[in-house]
Amino acid sequence: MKRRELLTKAISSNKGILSLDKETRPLDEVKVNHLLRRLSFQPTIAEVNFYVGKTAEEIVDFLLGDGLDYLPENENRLPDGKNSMSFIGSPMQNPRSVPLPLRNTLEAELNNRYSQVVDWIIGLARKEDLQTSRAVEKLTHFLMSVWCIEFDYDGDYQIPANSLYLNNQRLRKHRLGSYKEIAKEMTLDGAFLLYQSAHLSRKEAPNENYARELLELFTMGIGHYSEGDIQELSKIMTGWRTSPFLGDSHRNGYFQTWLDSEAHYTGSKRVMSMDFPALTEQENNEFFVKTHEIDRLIDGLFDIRKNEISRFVSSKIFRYFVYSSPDDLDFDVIEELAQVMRDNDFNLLPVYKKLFTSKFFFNEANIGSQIKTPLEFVFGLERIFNKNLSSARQALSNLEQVIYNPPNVSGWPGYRTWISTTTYPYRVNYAVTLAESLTKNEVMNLLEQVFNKQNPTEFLREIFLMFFPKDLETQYYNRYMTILLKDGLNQDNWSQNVINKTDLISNNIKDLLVEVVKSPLFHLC
Amino acid sequence: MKRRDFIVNTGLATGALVSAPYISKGKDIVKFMSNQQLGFGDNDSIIIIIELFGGNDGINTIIPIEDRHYSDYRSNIEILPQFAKRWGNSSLYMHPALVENQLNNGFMGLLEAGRLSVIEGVGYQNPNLSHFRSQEIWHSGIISNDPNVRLTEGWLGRYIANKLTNFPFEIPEHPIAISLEGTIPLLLKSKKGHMGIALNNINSFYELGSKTNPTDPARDGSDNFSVEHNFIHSIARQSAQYSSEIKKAFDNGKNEVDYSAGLAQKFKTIARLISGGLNTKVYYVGLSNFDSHVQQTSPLEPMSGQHPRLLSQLSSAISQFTEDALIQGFYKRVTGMTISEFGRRVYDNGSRGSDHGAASVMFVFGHNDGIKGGHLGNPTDLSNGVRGGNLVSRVEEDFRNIYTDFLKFRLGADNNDVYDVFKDNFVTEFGVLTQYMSSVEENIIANPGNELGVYPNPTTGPINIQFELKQTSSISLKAFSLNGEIELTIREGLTPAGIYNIPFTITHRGFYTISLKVGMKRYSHKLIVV
Repeated sequence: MKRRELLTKAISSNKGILSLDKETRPLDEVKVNHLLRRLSFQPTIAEVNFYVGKTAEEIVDFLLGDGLDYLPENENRLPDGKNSMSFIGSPMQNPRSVPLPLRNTLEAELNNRYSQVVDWIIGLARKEDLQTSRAVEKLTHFLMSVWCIEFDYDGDYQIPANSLYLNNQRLRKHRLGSYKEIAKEMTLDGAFLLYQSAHLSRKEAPNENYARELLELFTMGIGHYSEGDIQELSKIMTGWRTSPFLGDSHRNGYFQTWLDSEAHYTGSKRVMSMDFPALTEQENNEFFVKTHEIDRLIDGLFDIRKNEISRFVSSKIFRYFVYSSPDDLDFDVIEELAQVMRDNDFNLLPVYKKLFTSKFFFNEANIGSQIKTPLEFVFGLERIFNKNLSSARQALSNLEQVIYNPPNVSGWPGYRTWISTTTYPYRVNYAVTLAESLTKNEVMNLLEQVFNKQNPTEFLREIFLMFFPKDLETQYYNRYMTILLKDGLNQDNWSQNVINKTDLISNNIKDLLVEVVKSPLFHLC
Repeated sequence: MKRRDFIVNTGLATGALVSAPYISKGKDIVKFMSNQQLGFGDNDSIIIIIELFGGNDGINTIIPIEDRHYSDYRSNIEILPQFAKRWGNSSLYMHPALVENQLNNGFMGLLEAGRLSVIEGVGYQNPNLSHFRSQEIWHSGIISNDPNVRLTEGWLGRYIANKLTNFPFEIPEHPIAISLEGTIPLLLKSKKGHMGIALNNINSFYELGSKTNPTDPARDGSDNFSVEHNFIHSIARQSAQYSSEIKKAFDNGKNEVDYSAGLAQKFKTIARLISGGLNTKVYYVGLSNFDSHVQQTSPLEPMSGQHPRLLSQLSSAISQFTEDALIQGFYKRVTGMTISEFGRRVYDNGSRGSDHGAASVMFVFGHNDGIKGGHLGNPTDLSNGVRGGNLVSRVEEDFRNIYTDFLKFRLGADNNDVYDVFKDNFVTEFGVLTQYMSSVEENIIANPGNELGVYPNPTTGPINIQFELKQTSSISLKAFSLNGEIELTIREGLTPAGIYNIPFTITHRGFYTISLKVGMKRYSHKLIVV
């Protein structure tokens, strides 16, 4: 850490900021915006104004809470999907168990249910109220983007909606909990077993798929395990089954996971330095195998590869919440986060608290540097305008981030891949269409929310802060002012027009909004 | 300004209405470079890269039927001798999905016509069995298993970026590369930005893209905010420019054969864009789901299962495209290759599938004048035994040698360029491609020594321009005034073979040059208008 010390020294001598030291000053609207944009999909003006003047710690304490709101016995507080999805809890027939015409009907139903789960998740993100409730959905989505699952997998298989729903609830429940627990939960999660074809793996021919992805994509990254580790780990994973369809064996209930002892490899195994002795016939049961093989394996991995895993997960957190293309200096901060994670036995809450209250996080260099993900873009657009797209699900599909359907098991590549000559025109079109569709009433409601509307410059600044990620230079004001003040509206008659809610001011504001959402700046947050 | 300085200096700049001279007007001016300015050598070659993602099972694609171990190792997924397709009396046996129900017998037809090379055993030493790392290695052309080495540039991205010195302030008038996958693959990425564009639907691109030209200018500054802003800004400008050029080519182009569903539809689009005169050098398409851990196929029904379905799509796409390109006369310009991050294990895995393995088979297709067709590389030999599920002591063909053929013989690279791309002196030509002779282009125009006729001369204005094209070619026929003030386009674009007698009228008096460009070859004729 010599280099780091040097740097810290060099920078502190210039009164610069480069550490996870706490930001104690009250936050202004730019910084509140920054925090809420990273912790949620997009704050409204009202939400930003609610928090201006509070410290980062006060805001973060409220928005994160103690992390136990659904844990361990508070599961009943989780948002309940049953209200909007009648099929929750009841399995359907396996499309592959019936003749073709009926199979098509059942597959259509599988697709339909999946869409409903996606819409339910979209609904939760849309209606999250940051003044009265915790910030839950973005943190949940972070885990969904790491432990990702494709609804359509292996060419023509689909994962039933009930399994996806349970997977989502598990992640929501653990979003601030221990990453180690998450790894245990996901390893035996029904949707995951299906997705990784681990539910077909048996002792004669262990399937290496999940073993590899667990190490490579979900915990430590390549370079920290051998091919032999993968082969041995895959033996531990043999025999686990899930019960997604009507008529499947369901010893533990539908959608739950159980061990088919017949298919489990009972010989001895060795992963890294961990020895798993051969199992006796009595030991080859679900409880014993879960505790002595699965749980021990995960605990062991998180112990033996403590440094690698904490770095790997911290790097994912950094890329998701701070900046997607970290440089060498950022890796020093990632190392600090990893230390916090290790000190707290892989609990995520202290890591997030450290990050979101740090001077580093609020540094000018980190504000406005993220390219909005399609989720941030779509929900942000809808939340700013308080008006929904005709189909957010369709929009997300065109913008290439379909919930529970990433391109492959490594998830969405993110960062600059979000913006291409394919997706950018779609983004502009969705934004402009929604802005153009605003009625006079809707424009006036937006104007109501603006805190400072006494003069056009203050008004423009708030509009900029709502749509753009940071304060802008005067050139931008000059240009956009010509769109706002035209057709007779000017500095002098501005207030009168605001008070009288004239057509003139409504039309000009709408033209301004259309222009604002066409700017490349609107895609940064 | 370095990012470090920025962190130090701007920590407190959060007041309202920050006034700083960030905005550079100069950078807002985008220039467009014509294809001739790009420096890809004297040719109008096009390359197509098809990625078989997931790890194609080479052993079940080109099958070592005669190897007695094959059936032992793969009893759950073997292709039985009665189903495999043999090339003549050779030891090359193909999966039936590549041949059966295919136009002109699919890959077998291509092989027999000298248009297909089957290169076995292509990969690299100590293969990485992670899909993602191995894909990065194949795309970057940098063989490194060290996870700390971040692979962020592609081999084509680096090569093209070296040619486009002023990118993104000067961009080619047509997209230099097109990915038909919606996103830009690593192989087209460079430090300067994406060397190419992503394309899904041409009509919606045209409709939506025309409205994307940004009115805010690009920013100065090397802080993350400005850098990312300028990235988005450049995509916005390219969307606006290329959406109309692609639409133009698409509307002018055509297809002469029917294409199947799936991958072939992307080839249909490529054929139409080429036929319509788009000067794009590289097309990238992908076919996913080769990761056949389970339910890959079954011995008694070799055409069922995921793997045969994918092979069938691959064969249809290339066979149909070849026929279309031959009919339309541009086949000679196009050379393609398949890539896949790795092969599969020798043993099947018992779930009627196979796990990640080492080297695999690669296909190169193109005109028989320009490729060495047939069976190349190191055929699979199972008798040496298996270690860790992969073949022992197989000499692997370095995939970068095949890339080198594409760089040198299709994209105009010299040895220094190749070194700049791979930074490895061991990378060398593989020899599957050859340079097209420039005589090929000279022979396009008939009547050597008197290729271009202009009558009458001198004229009062009306003229007839005569020439004969032996092959369908991309031509550009123009009239220039000698003082450089007038440039008239008489005819441009892909023109079918035939004898031409084109009437034209020049309204201003003066001295002119009539210039006909065919491919990279230029013919001219002086003209006086009185």
